[in-house]
Amino acid sequence: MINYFTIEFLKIRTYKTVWILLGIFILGFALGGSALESMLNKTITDNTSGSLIPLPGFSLYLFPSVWQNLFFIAGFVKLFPGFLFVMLVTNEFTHDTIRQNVITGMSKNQILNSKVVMAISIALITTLAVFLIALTNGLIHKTPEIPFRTLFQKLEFVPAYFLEMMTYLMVCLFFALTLRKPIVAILSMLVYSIIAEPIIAYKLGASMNQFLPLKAAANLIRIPRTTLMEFFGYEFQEYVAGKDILICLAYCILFYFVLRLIMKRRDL
Amino acid sequence: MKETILEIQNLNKRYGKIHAVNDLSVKIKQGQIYGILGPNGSGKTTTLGIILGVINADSGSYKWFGQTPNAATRRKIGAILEHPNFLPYLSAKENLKIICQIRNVPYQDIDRVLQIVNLSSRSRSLYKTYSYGMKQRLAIAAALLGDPGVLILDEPTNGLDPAGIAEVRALIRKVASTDKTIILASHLLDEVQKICTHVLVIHNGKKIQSSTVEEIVNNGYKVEIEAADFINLRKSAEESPFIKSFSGEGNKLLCTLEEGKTAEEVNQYFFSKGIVLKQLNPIHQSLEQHFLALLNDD
Repeated sequence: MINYFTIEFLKIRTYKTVWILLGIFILGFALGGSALESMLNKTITDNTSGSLIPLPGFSLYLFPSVWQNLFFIAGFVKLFPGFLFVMLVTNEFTHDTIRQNVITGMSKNQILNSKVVMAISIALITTLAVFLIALTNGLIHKTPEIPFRTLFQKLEFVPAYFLEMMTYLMVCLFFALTLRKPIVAILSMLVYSIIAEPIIAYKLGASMNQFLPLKAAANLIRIPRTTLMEFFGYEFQEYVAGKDILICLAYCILFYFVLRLIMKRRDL
Repeated sequence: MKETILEIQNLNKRYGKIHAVNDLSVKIKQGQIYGILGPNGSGKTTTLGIILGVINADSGSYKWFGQTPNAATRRKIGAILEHPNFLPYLSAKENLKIICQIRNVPYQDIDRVLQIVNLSSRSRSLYKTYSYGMKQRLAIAAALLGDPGVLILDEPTNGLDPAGIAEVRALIRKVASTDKTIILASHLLDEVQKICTHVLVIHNGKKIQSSTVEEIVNNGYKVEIEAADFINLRKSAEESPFIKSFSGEGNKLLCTLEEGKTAEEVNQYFFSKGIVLKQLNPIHQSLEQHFLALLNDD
């Protein structure tokens, strides 16, 4: 396990593009949250200026809802670490280094395992980054009325986001390892996640589409309660459902074993 | 008895209609420098790809060191397959570290192999800044990491300039003198003749010959003979059961012998006919001539 991590880490350690992309993602997320908050508040105040019902401004960053708020938003931008991951994996086909790694002494299973370890690392880094951003902002916005124990409430969204990221990255890995060409894999991933799966999801209906991989991943963290949405009579789910966890775990395991089979059969 | 390093049995691989490897069997023992010869597209690289675990064979089997091959047996083999494969955005040294990590070789070994291929001064440059010759040399350095007992070199002088070719050749000789087993695929016959002890000739995926280089080069099937009595010499040559053909040049005859016949037997034969040979020269056949003849026959 540690050896897999070391091998993969050596491949990106001095690869500046990776660190720049990761940095932009984290920084963008840290700043983007605040921008989004003020934008939403401004929309609300603009739209309700003439309204009879006064709507209070809202904050993304109050404990304990900050966890669900930020991890929910982070769910939308998981595309970026996903691209990074697909790029890193397909790069190794472009430069034939996967082939060389097998010649050098890795088995095809070990190659797959090392990529899964890379996915776990990316999921951990992004989860940790969002966690720290949420924690910092939560502490900054904490008022004396908010009891300190709320800090530890609803922390279930942290591991839930990790699982969401992991499920997403396993789908990415599937595209990367089967299609191999960077552009083809990234475009297919895009088409699948933005066009194909949403259409299938729409046709299947809510009772069935929860079993689709990306839908299941997105379902882990549902839309957080906001006064605005409450106003429209939306029903909120402020917990992580066990059923969604099971579907995601099942997908991660399924993708792993399907990829094992594909790797075994194909020539490199 | 030397240990068998590699044993290939009835290997087959098809790509659609093309039979890339056709019922290939070969045994390679420790210390042999085995040249694999064949024209482009004859199945050399496919065969090496199979024994290196990156291509699945359709049927047949192979064993490394008498064991069923797996990732661990590959770690005892240093190999270059086709072109050098490294990550362009990493330095040479970083690329070699990955290989060390996979093979469980200490990083200190990197300096040693870089020195061997003469790249020490450029170890921190990004791989993408390397010339093709440097890339090829780095690939050889990577194969040497951990000092494996077996080296597989697929066209190691491909794309090199004359100086580079000479350098790589000297390098292979240096390594070969240390009782390592080397498998060298090449279509440069001169290279194989100069370096190898054994040779396997494949054409259209099939083995058409496997023997020692000495056997091919020394067992030249041609001798040049000369005698005072040229007319009788000619007549006897015509009557000989083992001289396939001959051509005259001055007082000399150049005879092509049946396979397995030696200069000694030629001498004996003419002596029994009452002709004393003034001169008897076995003509050494180059691997190239032999190879071309083989391909023509096939």
